[in-house]
Amino acid sequence: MTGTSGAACWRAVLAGLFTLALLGGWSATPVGAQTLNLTLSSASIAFASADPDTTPQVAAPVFTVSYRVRQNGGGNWAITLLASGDLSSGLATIPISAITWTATPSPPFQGGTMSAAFAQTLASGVGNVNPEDDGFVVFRLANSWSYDTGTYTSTFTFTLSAP
Amino acid sequence: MWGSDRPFVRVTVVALALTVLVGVADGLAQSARSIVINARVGAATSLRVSESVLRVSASSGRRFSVVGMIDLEAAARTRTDGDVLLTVEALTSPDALAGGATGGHVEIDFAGAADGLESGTLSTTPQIAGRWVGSGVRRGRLTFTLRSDGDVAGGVLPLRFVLTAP
Repeated sequence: MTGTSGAACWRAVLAGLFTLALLGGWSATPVGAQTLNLTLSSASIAFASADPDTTPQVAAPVFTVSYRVRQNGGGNWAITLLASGDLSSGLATIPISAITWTATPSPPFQGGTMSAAFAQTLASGVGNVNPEDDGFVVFRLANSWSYDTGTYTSTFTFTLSAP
Repeated sequence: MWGSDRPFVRVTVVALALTVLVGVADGLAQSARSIVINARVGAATSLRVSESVLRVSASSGRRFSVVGMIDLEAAARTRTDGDVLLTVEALTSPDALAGGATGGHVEIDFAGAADGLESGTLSTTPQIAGRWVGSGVRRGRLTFTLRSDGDVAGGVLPLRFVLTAP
């Protein structure tokens, strides 16, 4: 009886190992294999007040995004942007879609419109980026006479990912 | 047969489950950074008027007639409950338009045609011609009507418009 159950256990272990080895081939990339580095030139961006008649769009200073992608093989990578919400000052708000951006070099960078609902693509590519490379982003706020006075704030999150 | 191979089946199922779980969690590497956005919106006003004078022609006897229509665009940025005021004043007295042998008293009324525009009588002190609350661009027309009880010599009456907001 013992010999029979012992042989069955060995068969079970071997079968399990074989299954793992076989199915491991389905995962092209092991967990956390890519090394991603993302740094930003500043912790904040400021839009100055301006006359809507003379300055229909207020531009912020150029903003640098530095990124590096390693051990990515032939995989895709992307940098996305997502706002925490509308610009707000007390109860007053400015839609976050009033902020747009242009970015260079293009490709891999591209322009877009901010959103708090869906992450927007700032840059995308394939493979590795090594050594580190830079992208330059200019954010612009649509100016308007309809805004109430105040200092409005929001938070942008930049995410570099390699699925 | 199945009874002696039950451990084999159990371990295979567990191995399969582990591989599926590893596959689900596999492959998504990320690096994220956040920044704070600040946008300052300061107070401002902008006023455009189509004309800043009234041109009055000479006439005899009592008179009641339109002597001018001025279109305006008043833009202001202020706090949510800020009072935006438009005033108009005559830089010379309307009575200076009277003349002739039987020159009398001259008054010029104004009336607004748009939300927020008001009615009144021109004076050499500022009179409220428009009143709004909060930020925005307001457009409208002020119509000026002369009333006289005698001859009018005519002439040009300069006006001053001022837009204010807190």
